[in-house]
Amino acid sequence: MIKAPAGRAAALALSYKGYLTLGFLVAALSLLPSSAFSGWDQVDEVLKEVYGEQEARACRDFYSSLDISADQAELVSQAIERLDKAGYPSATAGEYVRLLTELSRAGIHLDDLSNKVMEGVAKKVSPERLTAVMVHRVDALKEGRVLTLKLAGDGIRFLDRQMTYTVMADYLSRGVRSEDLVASVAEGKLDRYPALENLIR
Amino acid sequence: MKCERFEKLFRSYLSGELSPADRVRLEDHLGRCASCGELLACFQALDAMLDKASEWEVTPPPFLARSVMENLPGSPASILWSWRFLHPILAAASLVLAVGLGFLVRDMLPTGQQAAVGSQQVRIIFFSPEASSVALIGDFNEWGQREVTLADSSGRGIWEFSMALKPGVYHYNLLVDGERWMANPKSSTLVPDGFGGYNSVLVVSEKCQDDCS
Repeated sequence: MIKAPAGRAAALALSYKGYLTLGFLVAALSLLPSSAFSGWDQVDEVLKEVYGEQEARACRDFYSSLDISADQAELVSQAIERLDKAGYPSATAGEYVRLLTELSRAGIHLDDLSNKVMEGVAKKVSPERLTAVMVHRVDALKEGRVLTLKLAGDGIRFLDRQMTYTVMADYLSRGVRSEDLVASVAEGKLDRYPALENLIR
Repeated sequence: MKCERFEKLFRSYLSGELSPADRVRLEDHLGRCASCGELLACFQALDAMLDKASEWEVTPPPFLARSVMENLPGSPASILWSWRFLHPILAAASLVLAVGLGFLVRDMLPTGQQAAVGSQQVRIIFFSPEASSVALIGDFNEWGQREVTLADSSGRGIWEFSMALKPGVYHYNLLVDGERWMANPKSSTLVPDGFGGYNSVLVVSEKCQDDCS
């Protein structure tokens, strides 16, 4: 008769501890970026808002089958919004979305191209120039990916392949020949390519 | 004294709590009354059986607890505040409180500190004694979407800015006096931006603990 209330009190105390732990866990989860719950729908909304339903539908045909993270979707929608605000024609955004699909199909993250678009808008370049740079950048990224995968196949271990695609594309844009780049990485002679040093294990 | 009055003394008699005078009177009666003697013998047998009851192993039938609970008089106040009903309410309240607290803390954190989770501190230095303002514009602030201005704390044209960046490759420029785009000459990697100028490249990876420039 004496032990029962004490035991029950102990059980209650344990339950409160459990609730406290649960509370902290939920608090930690709610600290995660809220954007983690959005995706292509967000891009869709922006396209509809900026270019109307018809244009948005045409763009949607391109990207409907693609997989995209919430962070990337946010960046894409930001880029489209900035193109619109800066007065670029809808064809520029259309080309941008088409190139995004190329990247996505090649397994390359969309951040790089989206940043390039925002850079072009910030530097107030012409739509034609921006489109040409976008196309060139996508080609360089795709080539950077091919080189990275080749090197990975030869046993080179990269810390982050997506980051390596970008850096490879940067060096290719600088005029470095792909054979020289591959040979230097394979031989570990990275003094001429310092940006790659932090990406190889 | 009638038998009924003696029967009332049986319990005290068996437990040894009867006064000596009553005890003498009861024993005198028991010597003369056979029925009271039998009744007392029954009481003694019952006591003996109850004394041994603590040694029995009894499994209550499954319906007993439910039957007892159903027959208890209902009390709305006690049901409302019983642990059984408070349990889910407390759980829900804890969740709501925790989520609210989480959002509150997140909103209170400056953007820079939110980004600092899992990121590395990067310092950008630019030397330009003739500049009156230097802005940092690049991938990390969506090319000017958020303003980042370098400070010349020395007053001798050494412009500096520190920030926490997640692992990634960042291209950036410096916008000097609000009109001149230029790459940071201190950057170890410069690449053509495709628009006729150059970008500085900053690689932040888990490998560069001290110098990500």
